[in-house]
Amino acid sequence: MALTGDIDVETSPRLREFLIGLVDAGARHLVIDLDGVAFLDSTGLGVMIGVFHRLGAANGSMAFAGGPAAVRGVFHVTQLTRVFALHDTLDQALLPVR
Amino acid sequence: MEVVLEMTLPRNAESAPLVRHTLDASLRGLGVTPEIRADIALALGEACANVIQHAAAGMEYEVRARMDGLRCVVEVIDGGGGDSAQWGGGRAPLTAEHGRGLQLIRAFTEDVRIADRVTREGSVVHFEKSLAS
Repeated sequence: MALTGDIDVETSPRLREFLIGLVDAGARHLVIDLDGVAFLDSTGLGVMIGVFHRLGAANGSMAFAGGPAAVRGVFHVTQLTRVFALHDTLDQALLPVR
Repeated sequence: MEVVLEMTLPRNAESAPLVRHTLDASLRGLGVTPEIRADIALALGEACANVIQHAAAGMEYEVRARMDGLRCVVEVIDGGGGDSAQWGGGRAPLTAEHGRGLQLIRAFTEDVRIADRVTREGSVVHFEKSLAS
């Protein structure tokens, strides 16, 4: 799925609710396209990790694709590239899931 | 040209994007590159989020920014009440959901300081960024 706009202290609660809803509805493998994301902060990262824990408990997986340099930089600085796969393109991210 | 912004804001989630976008517009007007603006926006967003997430109803916080062609200096001033500016001192565990804000501010800006206010309750988060690209 593609996310757009700013992911921050204002929008993170709704994003968490949306993604957790997908997992509760049975989604097990999430691939998130970040190309449309203009801003991502630690509250947004917290959502992703919360969802990651839920998926892990269900033997699922979570990966990310694309994103502007600033957004990718946040994953690198926090070393969350050791937790999530961060692919250059959506096609690359989707390969293991097909 | 020097630009000074001072904003007093309610501690609600809607204030964070407003502050970020206001400061970003000023920096863009000064010709600052998108990469540097992104670093400042992230640090400011982190500092504001920290205040907001420890808010007590009805309290306010202040953002002060001073910028010229060379440097941007930002302070986010928490007026106290509620739990003041709870910054976890150490690094968060890798898969913790919280606790990364200070790490991000330090990674993307310079001269990061957190201090108690001298004459009033609350704390000040201070960071700077060279604007030369």
